[in-house]
Amino acid sequence: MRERWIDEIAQLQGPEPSGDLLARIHDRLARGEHVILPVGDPGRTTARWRLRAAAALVAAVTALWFLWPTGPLTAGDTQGELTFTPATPHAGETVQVAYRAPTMLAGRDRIVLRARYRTPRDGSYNGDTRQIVAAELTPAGDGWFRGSLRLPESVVYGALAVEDADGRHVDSHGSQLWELLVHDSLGRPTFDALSQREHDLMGRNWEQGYKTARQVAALYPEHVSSWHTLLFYEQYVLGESQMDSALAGHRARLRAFDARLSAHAFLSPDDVGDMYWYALNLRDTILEQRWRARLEREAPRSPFAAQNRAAAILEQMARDKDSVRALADMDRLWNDVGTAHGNVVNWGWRVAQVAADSAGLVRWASRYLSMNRGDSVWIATAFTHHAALRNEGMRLLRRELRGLETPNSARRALERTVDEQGVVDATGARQILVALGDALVAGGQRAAGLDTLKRAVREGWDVSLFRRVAQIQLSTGDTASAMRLLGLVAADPATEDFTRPPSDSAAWARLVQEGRGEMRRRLLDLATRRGLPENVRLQAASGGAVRFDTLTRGRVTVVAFWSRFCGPSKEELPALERLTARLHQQGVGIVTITEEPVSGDLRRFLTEQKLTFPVYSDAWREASRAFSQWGTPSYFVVDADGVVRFEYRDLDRIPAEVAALQ
Amino acid sequence: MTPTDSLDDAALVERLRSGDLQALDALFHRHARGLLGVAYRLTGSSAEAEDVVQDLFVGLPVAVRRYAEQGAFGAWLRIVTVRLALDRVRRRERRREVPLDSMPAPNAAASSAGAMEARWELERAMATLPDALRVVFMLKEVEGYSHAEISQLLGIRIGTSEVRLHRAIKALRGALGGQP
Repeated sequence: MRERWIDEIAQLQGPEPSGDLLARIHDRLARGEHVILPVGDPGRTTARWRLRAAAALVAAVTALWFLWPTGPLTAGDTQGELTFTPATPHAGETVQVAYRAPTMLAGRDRIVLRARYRTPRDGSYNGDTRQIVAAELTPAGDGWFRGSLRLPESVVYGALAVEDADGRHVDSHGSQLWELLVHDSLGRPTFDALSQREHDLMGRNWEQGYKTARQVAALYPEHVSSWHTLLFYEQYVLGESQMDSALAGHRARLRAFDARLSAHAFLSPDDVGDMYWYALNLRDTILEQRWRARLEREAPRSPFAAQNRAAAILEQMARDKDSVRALADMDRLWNDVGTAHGNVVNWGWRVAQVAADSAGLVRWASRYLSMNRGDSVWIATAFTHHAALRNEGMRLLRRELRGLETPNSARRALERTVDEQGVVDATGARQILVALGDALVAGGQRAAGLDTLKRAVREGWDVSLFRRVAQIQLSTGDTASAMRLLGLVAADPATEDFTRPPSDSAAWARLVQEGRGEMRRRLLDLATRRGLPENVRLQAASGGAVRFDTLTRGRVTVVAFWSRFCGPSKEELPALERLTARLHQQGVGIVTITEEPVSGDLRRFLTEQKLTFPVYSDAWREASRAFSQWGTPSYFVVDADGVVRFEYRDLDRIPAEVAALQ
Repeated sequence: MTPTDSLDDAALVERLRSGDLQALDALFHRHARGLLGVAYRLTGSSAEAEDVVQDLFVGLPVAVRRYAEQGAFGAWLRIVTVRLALDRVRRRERRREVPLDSMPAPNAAASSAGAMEARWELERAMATLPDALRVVFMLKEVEGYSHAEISQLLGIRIGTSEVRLHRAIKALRGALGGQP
């Protein structure tokens, strides 16, 4: 029962407005002041959203009433429960960790909590991030493990996963990972923490990235960057055609920011740069030019100004074709701005290549790698294309190869086991071997080069790699090896633009036939074997529930998770439509799953996009949990026994994987 | 009584949209005091509460153009005020400032010495609460927001909002001399 004193507090009256409050308001309005109010902001629920949510809730509750499963679908054998105390830590704080282990990790002496930590200056995606052991957890009874970690002072965001001591079994929270965000003393996630979360989600889950951008704008509306980041997501997720109403809001906001900030004589370089960028992306040429001028005048070394200066050098080079002068200009720019913006090193490297200046290439390679550690193979390969740098390139490639052959926990993504990382590393190693073989052949070491190339294509299934190696082999006269590889290329059902090599037709048919057998063997070597729970339910287009296993049993089935609110997923829908139409004709089962409930909106979208594949809704989130799926698009191939055999994100591999299972 | 006083909020909003600042005055007279209370309870400072209300009405002529008329205008004003006030609290926290008048002056509205004392007692108890707890308490118990709505406003989990409310009530109960 509500206590009386709470009512008394609720009834306390606030202060009386000062007599001149209204006059002060009018004074400010007369001076032309504007205040951007946090209204209709993206974080706010709309009536339409509420209606949809209510409808979804009614549908879900109704379905649950009739279709309550015989046993609840739990995280089961592979997913545990992790809690942090405090859940809203401050920078540098010690966090207590408690983990209830699933069967997969129960009974161990110790388990490991791994983390990917981010500081405020870390960039988007996770290509260059490093993983560390954040804590060791020890048994605390009743299936619980406990430990603690201290957040480094500089860290604002951490993504985490739990695994056994040798990294053979990983609980990645269904691929979602657990998270720690640094909070302020009011208990809100800090601006930097949310920004880094958004960066970390790039490429992992665009919808969550979009939600985070909305959250940043709702919590930190005074930051211009909150809004241009949100604009980026809206353009990418909603698409330009759906942007009309959102753009009007952004333009009004830009003008209001402009009115507020223009008068300030001293602004931070970030503020000036953000205003320029917001205006540029909204195509407001007047404000863009005004803020660009201010940026160049007041903050010439800031990121956006540095990028513009680098672009100006490229444009000049395109006009006068003077790459030598452009390279000198880029060097001067580097000396002035250093690592201010990634495009300075991208374009500096490009200019050095155009100028074909060996010393310049070495210089810019080093600068480029200081900002893009993950691209060292690409740089080394580029070196091998320049005679003067070929030996250095090969030395670097061999070093990279040795690195991949040495287990390295820092490189291993949080979601991957040691074995899964091994498959990824083997793929990377094959690409390095091809570059190395190519360089050896180009450098006149033909025999060593051909041997290296053969090693590169001995295992794995990468059609583009086979094509490239076959091309090199043909150029060296090693026709027999090239034909065997082209047989593999032709065997892959995804190969469409293939010109048959001139050859005896019977011999060629035999090569392709052998290629099919080889393809099956290699792909099955890479296949996984993961069972699915029996009682996974999906919502059919009619609105009713259907059991997943009844859709797949007895035939190979392609399962595609997609979303119309995820840019990359939406881009692939036409290709998914073509692929599923073809596979359906071959008797392959097709189940496509989207998170949103079946609705008129969704049906309209399917009609407009001319999508005919069968769509089910993961209304109860049972399918995403069963597949440990998070983020779209993601594709799976399930065999005729209902076992998951392939789980990649590459649409082009699916025809071969299906063929291997048939 | 001015001609605008007889108009309802929707009509005033329509007039304000077309640039009629008399409509702003009418809206101010109708809502400012209640909104000042909302801002005061959240910021704990009458000066900051006035700043919030001032900002609100300075921004209103432009903001009403985006008001979608999907609910009562008063409720919309309240949520905007809540957001502005929370922003103040957060910025204050970043500057590590404390409100100047955490112990508010006696209010003429309190009719007797006893009532005034009781009011002081309640306000003193409120002033002892950390911002994080006071804000959740006020949003839930006084403004009537759900934990789900509070979690959206503050960017915290629903469970965190529930825990903070529990702690706030416990602390207030203790400060008011009851069993914590």
